[in-house]
Amino acid sequence: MLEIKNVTKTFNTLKAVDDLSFRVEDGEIVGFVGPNGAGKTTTMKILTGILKPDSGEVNINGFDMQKTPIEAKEIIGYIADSPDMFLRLKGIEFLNIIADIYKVPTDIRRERIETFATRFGLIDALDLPMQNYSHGMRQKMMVAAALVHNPPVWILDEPLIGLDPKSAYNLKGMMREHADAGNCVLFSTHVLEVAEKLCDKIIIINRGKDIFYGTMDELTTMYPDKDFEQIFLEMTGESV
Amino acid sequence: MTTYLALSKAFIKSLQMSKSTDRRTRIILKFIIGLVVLFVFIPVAIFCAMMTYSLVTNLQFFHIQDLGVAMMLHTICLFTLFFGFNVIFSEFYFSSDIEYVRPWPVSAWQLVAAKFSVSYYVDNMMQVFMVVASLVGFFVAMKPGAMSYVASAVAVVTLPILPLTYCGIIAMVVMRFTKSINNKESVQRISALVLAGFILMFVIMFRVFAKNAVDAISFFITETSSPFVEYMNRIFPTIHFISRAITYGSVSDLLIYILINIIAVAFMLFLSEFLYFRGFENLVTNVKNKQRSFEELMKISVQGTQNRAYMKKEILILFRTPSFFTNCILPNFIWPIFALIILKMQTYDVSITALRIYNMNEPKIVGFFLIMGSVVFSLIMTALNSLASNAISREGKHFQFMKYIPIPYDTQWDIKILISCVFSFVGIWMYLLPFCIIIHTNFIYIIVSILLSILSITFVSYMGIYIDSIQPKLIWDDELSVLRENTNVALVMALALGIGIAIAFVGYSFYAFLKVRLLLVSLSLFVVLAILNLFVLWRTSKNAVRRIAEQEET
Repeated sequence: MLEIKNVTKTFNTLKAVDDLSFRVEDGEIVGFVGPNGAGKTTTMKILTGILKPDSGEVNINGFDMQKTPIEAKEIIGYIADSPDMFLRLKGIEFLNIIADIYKVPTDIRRERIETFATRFGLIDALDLPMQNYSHGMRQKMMVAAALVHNPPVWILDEPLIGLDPKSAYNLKGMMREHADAGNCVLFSTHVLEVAEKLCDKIIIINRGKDIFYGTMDELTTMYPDKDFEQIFLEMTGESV
Repeated sequence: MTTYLALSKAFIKSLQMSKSTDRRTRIILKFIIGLVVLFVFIPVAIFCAMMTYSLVTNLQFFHIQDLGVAMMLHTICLFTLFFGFNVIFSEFYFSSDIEYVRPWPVSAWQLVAAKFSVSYYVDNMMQVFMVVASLVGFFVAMKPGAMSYVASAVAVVTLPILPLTYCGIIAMVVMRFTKSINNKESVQRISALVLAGFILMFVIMFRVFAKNAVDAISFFITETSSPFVEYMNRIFPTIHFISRAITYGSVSDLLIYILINIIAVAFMLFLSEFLYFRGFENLVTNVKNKQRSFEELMKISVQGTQNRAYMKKEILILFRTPSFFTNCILPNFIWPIFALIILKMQTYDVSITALRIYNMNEPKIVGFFLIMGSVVFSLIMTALNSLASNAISREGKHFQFMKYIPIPYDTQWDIKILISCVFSFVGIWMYLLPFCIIIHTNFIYIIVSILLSILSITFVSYMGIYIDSIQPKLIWDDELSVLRENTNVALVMALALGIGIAIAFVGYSFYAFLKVRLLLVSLSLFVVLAILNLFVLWRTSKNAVRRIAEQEET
């Protein structure tokens, strides 16, 4: 479970997140959608402890991010908005470093590395420096690294960008399996169809404020004659 | 022209550091910049001014004072040429924006012109100080007319153009016709070699002119039919004209100078149409190396501790990033080569046997120099390798990694300090200890030196990371800029140098003039260093972790 309560974050005079509150329950996949600059990445960075909110609380499975940050961070799997991380390291080195940081035992890490490498077609790339990877391969490596410790809470910032169809399909399947096993997933995306098909709930955010939080059914009930794309554009004031 | 201006503006804007919103941090930053100017720029500027003044005054007797100005300007141009290669190669071919800009409908000359402007902007700051200082030295010596001031103003702004144009042309030719440079690392390796050559040349020149630099250079210019200046005039033909324009206020020389610069830049832009874009064809980023099988990789995938993993990450990045390796790691292990060169620069020879005999006769004096030397050298070396003073800045866009992993900030901090301490200590003592043993230094002196050296290293490491945490340079394009354009690194060097000199001066005064016993000097040093350590530890524990928590890369 992850919960964010009355969180506000301001950069200079710009309110990136404005009194935002929502809760992702165990067993749920929640899609985080909004226009560019709406505050999605800032919210995710607050959730993971990268940014400190000006006010409000973040709670991860009962651990307060301000008071018990280490315990909270241990149970998060986070994919950042850019996969260009530690490119001088080889894929296997990166995975092992992350596995050590999250205290993954030898036998379990071997099994997980094999699973991810097979699912994402990374086996031949593991012994190469990541600077030789394509953008998509880097993204796959970031996914593998974020999930190598099998965290109960997944916070994924546009995880499908750059993935080939097979890897995207696999990741979406993994998200579903993870939620069905009683864990929670929060992911941001600009692809509304993905959010529509995959998510149990949707959060629409605009200018730092949540303008909708609920299921797809609730949303379509509010706007019976429109599809998700039209609803989104209307709600965010971006109608063409 | 509009495209060129728009591109230049965009490139320069992207280079600039993010401005801090915190008033207190801004004040600290200004203070840091002030210290860098005070301890680095001003001493270099004073040297340039005095050198020009002396040269011009000496050469005035022969009515060839313009050669004195020319000599200084040639040296500054050489300086720009050597340091410009890395900047030009990086900007022209390896900046992160280049792959986005190349598909744009812009001509090669427009792109090269914009990239050239960025290189000029990056490379110019230190040089402006040197040129202005040299010209001030000239004005004090000569008191020339108004036209000279106009020519000087033109020189201050335009002097780097010709050497950077050479760098630009050479870079485009190399990239177009050879496959020798196919990534940023190759550029940095070659730059390191060029820099080593430049230092060696400087050292040799210093040895040649050791006894009386100004007289020797004056003699060099006047009595050898000026081959050096003549030769240099062929390389930098603009200098002949600008030095005459500055010295004699000659308008025609000034116009010729400007014309040559325009022609040089126009020629480079003309060539760029044929060379620039085709130079990218030789770029290959995928280097195949021998790979291990999946089974072998699984065998090495065993659980280690969090701290070991974090340390491994730090060390791998330091060793695999050429700029970090050549600037932060290598100096710890190659300093004896430079020490040897400096030793060879002396007019008298120093042998091991002579040192051993001297140690037998005067063990206390050798002990004193060992103790003081190890402290001062440890302070300077730890600052010079900048392992601590760029420890946070080095993270760059990976800074957020520090914040979302479940390792406490103070543990990450301690690991970074440990790395600085270990590399500094090993680098210093892996040579100094055998040297002490070879010359039969008293064992007690060695132990005391090692203890004081450790205290010096920990002090500079803590101070370095503390200063870097105030305003880390997290936004950078290439790794070299985090070292070259980071005021934190320069500030820590200046502080360590200042403290080292103060300790050496006070220590020597106490021992040599006030005849204080070596034991007491050592104890005093211990107390001073312990207090300094406690001070930085106190400051660090109070503020540092909070700073990392509050630091945002945006």
